[in-house]
Amino acid sequence: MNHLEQNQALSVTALNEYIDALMQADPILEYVHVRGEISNFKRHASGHLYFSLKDDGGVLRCVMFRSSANRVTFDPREGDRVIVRGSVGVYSATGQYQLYVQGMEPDGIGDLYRAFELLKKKLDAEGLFAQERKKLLPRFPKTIGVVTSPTGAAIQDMLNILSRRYPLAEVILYPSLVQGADAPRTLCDGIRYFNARKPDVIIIGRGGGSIEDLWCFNDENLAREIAASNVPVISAVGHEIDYTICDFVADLRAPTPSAAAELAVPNMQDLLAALKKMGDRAKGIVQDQIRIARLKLDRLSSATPFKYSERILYPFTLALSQAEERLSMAAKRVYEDRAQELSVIAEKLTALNPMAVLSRGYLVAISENGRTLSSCKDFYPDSHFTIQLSDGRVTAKTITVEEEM
Amino acid sequence: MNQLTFEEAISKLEVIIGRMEGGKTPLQESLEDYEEATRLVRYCAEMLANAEKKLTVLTEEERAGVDTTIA
Repeated sequence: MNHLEQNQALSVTALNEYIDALMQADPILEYVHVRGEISNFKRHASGHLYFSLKDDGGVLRCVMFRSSANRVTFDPREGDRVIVRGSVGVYSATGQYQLYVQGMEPDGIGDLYRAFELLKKKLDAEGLFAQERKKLLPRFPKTIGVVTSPTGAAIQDMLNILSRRYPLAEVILYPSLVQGADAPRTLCDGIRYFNARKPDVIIIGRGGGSIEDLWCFNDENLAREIAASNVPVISAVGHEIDYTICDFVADLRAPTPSAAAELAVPNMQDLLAALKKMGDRAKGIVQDQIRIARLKLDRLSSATPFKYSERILYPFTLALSQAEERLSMAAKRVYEDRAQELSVIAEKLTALNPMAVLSRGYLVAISENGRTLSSCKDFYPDSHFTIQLSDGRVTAKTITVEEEM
Repeated sequence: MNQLTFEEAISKLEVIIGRMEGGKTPLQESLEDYEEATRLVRYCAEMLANAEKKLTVLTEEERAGVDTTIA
């Protein structure tokens, strides 16, 4: 290396700036689309995004400043396949070239995303997301219709929570597809099925997944089916950060399937506490009422008329006892009159009693068949008869009959 | 109290307690209300305690059995 060449040596910064200038002058590097997978993703506190794009063959350093990052319509994460656009330049401090990203879209679903935004705007303009359209959820659902995959984690999560919180509700599962091209049709069928069967509430959803996995919940037909549902619909698609058209059009959006189960039913423990409280309140009211009634009674009974009741009642008790006396006297008189009458009758009866005659020495002869024998013609020799005396009977036998004519 | 649903029982309970709280009921009626309320509280609590989660998974035929053409 000769002296001249040494004098022409550039500083590091100068070279970096030179390369940077070259790149910026290049019509391709100045505005380029690049497809790759996000790695080493960092969201800086300032709002800038730092990450690399990689594919099988290499890595590209990227930076996305806050002003651009704020316009990204999804939540980029490690491993996401994306298409970014921007310009390539050199970062002098590290001597590395990098992509200054101005826009980012999920790879492969970029078109879907645009469709999503368009559909969302359209349905919103039609009023399908309007708050006043939202139906109230029942307080105590008897039947819950669930439209989801029978094999997914979502149904298990929901069943766990429903049985813990409110086992009174019956769950009917409409097994549907929750991803893929056929999923929207089966999801629509589920909503229609439950509109015929009429549970108290419908939960539609699935567990977390990639954006593509959840895409069937952005279907326009499904949105219209949910909007037309007469049964309230809770949407529970993916994780908290995932928003779908289904979420917007549903009567309630739950961040996760588990949360949907919690929103759908009351908590049994709270209910038991509330029930106890109601019972206590009822008891308290009755006890108060009894106490007030007793107070009233005490006050009334200590008032003058009750205190001097004996004096006030005296004329009445006097009248009563006089009446009683008169009644007993009247009764006595009636009895005596009757007794008198009775003794007269008794005397008459005594006079008529044949026994009285017998006691004076007269006899009565009675035939064996009980007839009174009062004539000689009633007797014949050797016939037996009975003689009635005042103190007994004698059996006799006829010896002779002497009729006196 | 034959086969009230939980919701029916709870609303009935709320009506009764509302009436009692109104304070216009004679004592005799309040006592009857109280008895009824106690019965309902017990009924609801028992319902919750004895409930067992019921799950029905619709089969293909069941899904087809309901006319879903009228949405």
